[in-house]
Order: sequence, then structure tokens, then C-alpha cells
Amino acid sequence: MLKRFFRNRTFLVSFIILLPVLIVALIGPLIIPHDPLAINQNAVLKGSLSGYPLGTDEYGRDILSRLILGIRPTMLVAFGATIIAFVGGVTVGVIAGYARGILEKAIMRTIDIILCFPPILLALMVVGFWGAGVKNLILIIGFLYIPYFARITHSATLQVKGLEYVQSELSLGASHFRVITKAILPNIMSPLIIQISLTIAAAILLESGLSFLGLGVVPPDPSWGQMIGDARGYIYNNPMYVIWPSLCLGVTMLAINLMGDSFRDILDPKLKNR
Amino acid sequence: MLLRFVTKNIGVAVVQIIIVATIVFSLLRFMPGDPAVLVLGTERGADPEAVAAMRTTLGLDQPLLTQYLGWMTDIVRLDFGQSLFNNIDVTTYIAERLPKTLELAIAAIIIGAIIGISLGIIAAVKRGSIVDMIVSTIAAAGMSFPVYVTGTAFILLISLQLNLLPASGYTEFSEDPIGHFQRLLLPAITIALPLAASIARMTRSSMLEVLGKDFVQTLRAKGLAEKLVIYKHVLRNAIISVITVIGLELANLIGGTVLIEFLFNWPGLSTLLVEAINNRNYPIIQGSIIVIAAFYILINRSVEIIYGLMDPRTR
Amino acid sequence: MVKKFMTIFILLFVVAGVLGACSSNEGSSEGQQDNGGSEGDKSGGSLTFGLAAEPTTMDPYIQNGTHGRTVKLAIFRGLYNYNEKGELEAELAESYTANDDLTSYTFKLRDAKFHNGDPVTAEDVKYTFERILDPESGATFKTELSIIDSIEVDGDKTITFNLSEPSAPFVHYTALPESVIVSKSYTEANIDDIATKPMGAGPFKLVSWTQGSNIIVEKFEDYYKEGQPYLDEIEFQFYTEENTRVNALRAGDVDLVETVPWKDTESIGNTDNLKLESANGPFMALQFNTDFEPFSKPEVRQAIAYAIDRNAIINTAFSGRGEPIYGMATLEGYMGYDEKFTTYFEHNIEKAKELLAEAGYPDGFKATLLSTSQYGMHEQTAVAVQSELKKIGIEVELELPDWATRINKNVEGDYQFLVVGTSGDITDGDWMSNFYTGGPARLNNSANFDDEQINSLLEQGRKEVDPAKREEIYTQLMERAMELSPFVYLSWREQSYGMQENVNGFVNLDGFLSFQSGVTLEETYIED
Repeated sequence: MLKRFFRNRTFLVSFIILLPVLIVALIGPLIIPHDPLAINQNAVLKGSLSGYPLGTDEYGRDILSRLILGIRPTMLVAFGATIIAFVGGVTVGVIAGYARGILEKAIMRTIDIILCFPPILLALMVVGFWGAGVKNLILIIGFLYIPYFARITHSATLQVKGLEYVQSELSLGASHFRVITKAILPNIMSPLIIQISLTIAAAILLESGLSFLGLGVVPPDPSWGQMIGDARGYIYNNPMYVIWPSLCLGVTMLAINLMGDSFRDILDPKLKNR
Repeated sequence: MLLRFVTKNIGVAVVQIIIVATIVFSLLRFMPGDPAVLVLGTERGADPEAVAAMRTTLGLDQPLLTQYLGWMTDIVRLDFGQSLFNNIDVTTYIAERLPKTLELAIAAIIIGAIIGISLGIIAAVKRGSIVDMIVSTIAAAGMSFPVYVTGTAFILLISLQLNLLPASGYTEFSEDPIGHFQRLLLPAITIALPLAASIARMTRSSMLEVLGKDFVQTLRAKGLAEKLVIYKHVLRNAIISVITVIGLELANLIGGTVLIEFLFNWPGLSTLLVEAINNRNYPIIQGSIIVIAAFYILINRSVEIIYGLMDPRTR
Repeated sequence: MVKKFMTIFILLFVVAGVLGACSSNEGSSEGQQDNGGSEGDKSGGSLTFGLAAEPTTMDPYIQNGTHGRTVKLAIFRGLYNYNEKGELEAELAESYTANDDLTSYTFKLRDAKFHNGDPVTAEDVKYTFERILDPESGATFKTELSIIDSIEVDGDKTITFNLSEPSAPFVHYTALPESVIVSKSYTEANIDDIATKPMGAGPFKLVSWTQGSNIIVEKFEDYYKEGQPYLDEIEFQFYTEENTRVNALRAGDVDLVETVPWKDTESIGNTDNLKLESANGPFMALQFNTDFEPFSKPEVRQAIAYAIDRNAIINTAFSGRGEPIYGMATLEGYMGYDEKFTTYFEHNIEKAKELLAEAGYPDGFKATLLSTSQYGMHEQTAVAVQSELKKIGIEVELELPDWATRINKNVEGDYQFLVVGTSGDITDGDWMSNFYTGGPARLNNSANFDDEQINSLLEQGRKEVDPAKREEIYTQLMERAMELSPFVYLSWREQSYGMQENVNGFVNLDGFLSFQSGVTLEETYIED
């Protein structure tokens, strides 16, 4: 199975890009050349200095160190939110699929309502009263993406539950848990995995968008979106300040999107016959 | 049967809008920040008595339930109340700003659709070739760079360096049609890029799906020219999914233009909402979110209705 | 078919490019319009002014921010106003006299008209102030003006204010933009719309206010200053996003912008067709809640005053613009000024640590600093302060909600210390009352700070008739203010207006009056 992934060119390329990103995210604090919070008021907005290869920001802080550390909150939010969305969504979807009747309708309609709210506006309002920060972002973004997983799981549950062999298993006394884990979930692994990659991408965009507006990761801790937002005003003073995090964010997003593409290529049954 | 289907859908939409309205109302009341204090000006503190008097004037000292019921009954008559800062109707504000967001969204969709569909067709027809790879990568890239990054890059390059277009702002079409479009172009293109990307991908995969179907082989065996096969038959079948995507993207856009309107100083509904949030201007916040959600719900419902009309099985 | 799409698309792009190139050659459209006169005649022309925000209300008695006051001073005038030199100048009043113990002020009005043609009478002045003093009113300076006991009108042109206690600074309070005169008949008839339909006796009258877009005013032909204003029309546009605002100036979309971000001042100064009008205006400071134990001790507050290298803030948050304040926020010419107050503190980490130890915190302590994410300068000042205080062992955590929440917390005293950027309202020494009068939390005081000596000195300063004695009182006051340091002043904030080369006559008032620079719009003109 794994071989199939690595044989796909797109997957390979995205994997090569993302692996170092993940590694740097993990060992970040060990490899940063400077304290990312250390203000150096005499060296603000320099393009490149000895010891500061990527230059400094408006506080004279090392951009390279901040880029390295900036991966972590973004990844934390991306994965944290996706996990919440996945667990929450699958649970809710299964319950809805099983329960039928009014409970099902209520759940699905609630899902629809969550989808009604433009994510960035709802996030703005909620951040407004809960405050910003990684923890709150994970919760809000995770919550906003539950519907996507719920829908997939719900329709799959309906489908699988109706299958003959499942009915017979149930009547023979198999537990629901078995049915869920052995019959339903494996069936929707593909769309779930694809949705996971979509959600990770969306979460990163949303977090960076909020950080760009100043409502995401709390300063002075860095995040790529926040750096771009701060750097935007300094384009004339030090253009590299905005270019580095933009490149990092863009390339990482590209890799994630390509990886999601490759998943779809490999796993989507409709395209299997190509 | 059909009527019941449509009515049920509309009924559901109305209920959803009411629920959204209620959620927004409650969320707002729990947000810290007192509108009365903000109305009186934050440069200099106001007396506690002045604040209390203002709260009474604004109707904020009444019990929540009374406020809620009063507001709901007004909504039904399409009366969204007045701004807390002056006596201008919320509907006036919304009527002023909504068309500008719609214009931006529609312009972006048109540009995005033209680019996206064209690219998607090329990629599908030339599947597996270098062209396909390039197009697919461009599409992936288009979706990967956040709009605030590409927007900033455009402003820098096209307005400030090359001086081709104004950097921001809005002029009325009636006053200055050319200026109007000049200011529309950059923000519309910035939004159109990721749209084009996702439309291209959808077009490509949808066309590939149809191309794999048996009837296409039949048409080719019959000797039909390839161009006709592609455009007259394959595209027509593939386009349904694409239109669905376009519809959903449009729905997303209505509330999703916040970053662009912010960057380009485009006076649309999203910036109205953000300013209102900053000012805790409850009636405007509530009114705007309801309008945005209503659009979203209605477009989604319409897509479902259209699907239902075209494919009776899904009813 | 694909080719057709591509051709259409390319055509669109080309058309747009051509249109763009064609029109941009005409240069900035609004700014350089028909300058009616030539040969040195300044009159005529229209100006596009980029404001940093849309005013929330134009009801004059509410302090609606610098952007609001700029428009207000174009449309209204008061009995007196501050002029471009920062002096009190007679506007709607011709002159005033006061009795010996400063409990009664009589103003003589000049001949002037409101925009609707009605003459400005003493009845209008009386109405203006009674409206401010109404218990239900939301007038920002109601408290300061509440010393008015009664108002007597004598004919159309004479009005007397009888005060409940002596007041040396009274005329200054009539010079506030919030004390401008409104028409009694007009306001009563339009009371429901008064926030959006301002009408005064100033150099410009309102033409239209398109919410979310712009405010347009035009020259008032019957303005009482002959030959002024020079401009035919001003269009105020709203650019909340600072980078967009600056770009608009660079691109020639606007003629004049307020609040040029500090990082852009250098490049604008170096651009050929643009220029800057800069002045040091408001100050940045730290405000303390003395209920939080460490901050209840003056030694701790003084330690903080010694510990922070002001340049760390100026060089980062303000791109090197502005001046450090190691002492009291007072300027030469202001009452009570003495050079020793401006150098009361210095950057001295050792001294700071000593003071902390004296106060009982040799190892420092933890504290939360409230600021806001909504305004870059506030957030950046907070980040710099956090970094500096770390050096003496004070671990600061930042709280950065949006402005509305930050104001809420400020007003409710829900903070330990916070970053404040503000200004005195008047140039008279009594500006300190707002900040130093003791009591529970309100917007501009250090919550729960209450010093009897300061309270008493403030009161004496207000009531003292003899100017020399007043100077002494305020000198004493500042001495005490430095000893106790309920406020730690950080820096003077430079405020800059950016404009096209050909915009003249607009002056950025110095010091506390920078926010009232809109008063010079009557003298602004566009050179050919």
C-alpha cells in the first residue's frame, strides 16, 4: 500500500518538501541561531547581516529564527484543529447515521448551520470574546470543520448500514462498534484522508489569515501568517521581511495541496481506472 | 411532489436563517466591550451617568429577552434597526455595501470561471502530458498562496511599481466608469486566482470522469470529430459539477471577501461587518451576518433544488 | 473553443492595461483640478483628505477622535479656538473679560453666520453649553464644564458664564473642539439626525456624507474671515488600513493624509512630489492599577521608569521618530515646565534593580500588560516594554484584545498595567486633572491611585488667580507626580501628515494640539 504512495510522482515531490518542514517544526528550538524574541533596536529591518542571513524585522529580531519557530503554531493549529474536526465529525456523523429520525435531522441541520457562517467572520467574533492564541484557534477552527467530516461519515454510515451482510452480522449479535470500525470506517478511509488534507490546508489558511489580521497567535510568539501581516507595512524598508514567510507559507501550502491531490489520485475509486 | 420538495427546502432555509440570527444575537451579548462607551468616544472617558443614559437611549438596559423578541419581530418586517452611533437604518448601510461585495464576487467568479474552465479543459484533453502537469501545478500554486499575499504582491507590482492601476479605493460607476473598473480589476483578479485554480481542478477531474464513460467511446467510434465530442458532449455533461462548485464558491465569497476588502479599501459588506464588530455596533453586526448567512443558505438551497430538478433520485 | 476563451481573456487584460495606461497619464485626478485663480491667488481648488477612520458621529460635543475632530473643525467654530501657533485665538467671540476672582467670564460675540444663513447669537451659545451640561447628555467634557453655574444672555452679542468656583483655565475649555457653537433652532429641529447632519459657523459646510465612503464639504461663502477658506471643496475619504492610506498618497489618489505610519515617514520625505508635516504630539505612557500589589509601591513604578530604555521603543515601534520622555510629559512653554522634570529619570538598570529590591521584589515578579492588537503602535510598544522589563526580572505577559475590549477593561479597572497613548486636552496646566485626580478606575487615571497632596494641588491650581502663584503650584505638582509616578511616560509620539508637494497652508499643531490641526484647513491652499 505504502509503495503505491511513493510511486506517485506528485506525492514524492510533496513529501520531499514537507518532511524537512515537519522535522524543523519538531527540532526547531534546538537549531535556531538566535533568540527569536530578542529585540535588537539598533539593527531593525536589515536585509541581511552577518549572523542574520535572512535579515531582521522591525524589532531587530532574527527572521530566520522566527521562521523556524513560526512553523510550530501553524502546524499545531493545523493538526490540532484537524484532529478535533475528524474526531468530532466522525462521531457526530456516525451517531446521526445510526440514530435516524429526529436526532439525525437535528444533527444534520445543525451541521448545515455551522456551515452557514463564513468561517473567517465567525472566527473573528469568537476570537473577539475568547481572545486569540493557539489553544482557542485550535478549538474554533476544529469546530468549524466538523461538518465536513460529519457529512462524509453520515452518508457512509447510512450506506453501509443498509448493506445486507452488515444487517446479517448485526442480527448475529455483532457489536455496533465492530460494525463501525470494520465496515464503515474502512469504506470511507479515502474520502476521509482527502478531507483531512483539505482541512489541514484550510486550517493553515485560516490561522494565517487571522494572524495576519492580528487575531491569531499572540505576539511576540511568531507565526508565518502573523509575520506576513506585520511585514506588509515594511515592504519599502525591507522587502525580504515579507517575502520569506510568504514563500515559506506558499510552498508549504503547495506541498500540502499536492499531497492531497496525490491522495485523491491514488485513493479515489472513480479515478482508479485510469 | 416537486412543489413539496421546493417548499420544504425553502422552509428549511427560513428556519436556518432564524437560528443563525439567534446565535449571532447571543454571541454578541457575551462579547466584552460596551457599545455605549464606544458611542461616547474612547479618546476621553465618559461619566458613568452619561454611559448609563446612553445605554437607556440605545435600549441596552432592557432585559435580554425583551431585546431579542423586539428584534425578531422587527426582522420579520425586514426592519433591522438603526446603527447605534447615528440614526441611520441598518438596511441603508447594507443596501450601500452589499452590491459592492456582490460586484466584486461576481467579477471574480467570471474571471475565475473563464480562466479555470479553459485551463481545466486543456489539462483534461492533454492528460498526462507536460501541459497537464504544468496546468495542475499552476492550479495548486494558485490555491496555495493566501489572497493577502497575492493581493499585496499585485498592489506592489502593478500599482506602485508599474503605475498601471490605482492601489485601492472605490469610485461610483456613474461618476467615472473607467475609474470604477480600474479599481475593480486588481481585487477581482486577486480573488479570481484561487477560484480559477479550484475551478480548473474540478473541470479537469469532472471531464476526465465523463471522458472515461462508454458513450464517449461510442461517439468516437461513430466517427464524430474530436472537437465536437469534447465540446458538445463531454463538456456539457461535465459542466454540471463545475457549476455546482462555482455556485458554492460564490456562496463562500459573500462572506469571505474580508481580507481583500481590507487590503484594497473596497467598501463592501465584509468591511462593514468588521468595522461594526470593532465598534460593537450590534444592529449592523446582526443585520450583516444575517444577510451573509441568508445568501449562503439560499445559494446552497438553490443548488440543491437545481440538483433535485435535474436528478429526481436525489430528492 | 479553448482558444476562444484564451483570446477573450487576453483581450480583457489588454483592454484593462490600455485603460490603465491611458488614465494614469493624466495623473492624480482629484487633486490637481481647476485651481480657479492664478498669479499667486490662493483661492480655488479641491482637496482629497485621507482620514484614518470614519467618524462615528458628528455631534460636536462628543470627542470623536482626531479624524472626527479634523472634520469638526472644518465645519464648526467655538468662542475661541487654538490657532496654528497653539495660542488661544478669538473666533466667534471677539473678546472676553473676567472678574477679579475668575468666577465670571463675559464674552462679546462678533458678527458671524451659520451655514444656513442664521446669525450666531448669544442664545445659540447659551443653548450649546446648556446642551452639554444636560444631565442626560453624553458630552465628553461635561465634568470640566460643570463648574458653569448659570449663563446670562444680554442682547444678541453678549453672554456671561457664572461659575461655581474660580477657574483659571476656563477659556481653554471653550476652545476645545467639543465646545464649538451650534445653532439652537437647527439643532432642535434636527435633533434626531444631528449626528450625521452637522451645521456650524466654520469655514466649510457639509455637502454630503456617504457612509463608508466619504464626507464632502464645500466653501462657506459667508465665513467671517475675509478671503478664507481658500479651497472650494474638501473630500474626506476613509482609509482605515494604514498601508492602503499611504499607498493612496503615493499613487496620487489623495492629496493629504493624516497619521502617516512612522515606518513610511522617511521614504515619503525622500519622495520628490510628496512632503511631510511632522510634530511631536501625544505621548505614550504606562498606566498602573495600584490595587495590584507590586504596583501599589512608588518604588516599583520608579524602577520601571529607570529600567526601560526609551529608545528600544522609539526605534522599533516608531521607526526612530519621536522623542524619549525620561520624566514628565511637559513641553517648554507649558505651565510648570522645568528642565529638571524632563530628565528626572534615566536609563539605569542597576538603579531599577535596587529600587525593586527596596520595594521587596529582589527577584522581580510576574505581571500582565494590557494593550491591543488593533493598533500597531500600541502592540509594538507593549512588545518592547515586555522585552525591557525582562532585564530587571519582571516577567510580562501580553494581553492583546481588540480596542473595544481593551477600553472596557481599562474603564472597569480590569488590568494590572496598560499601555496608553494619549494627550492632554488643553495646553493649560489643568490638563493634569484628568489624569492625576485620584479615585477608582476610569479611562485616564491610574486605577485606584489617590494622593491627597496631588488632589489638593490640582484644585488649587484651578482656582488660583495669580499666574505666578499658579506656576509654583504646577511645579510642585510635577515634583510630586514624578516622586510617585502613577504614570511612567515613555515617549513623545511624532504625528505626521503626508501631502502632495503642492498642498500648502496646512499646519500640524505642536504638542497636545496636534489632534486639532484641522483648524488650519481654512488656510490650506493648492499651489499650481
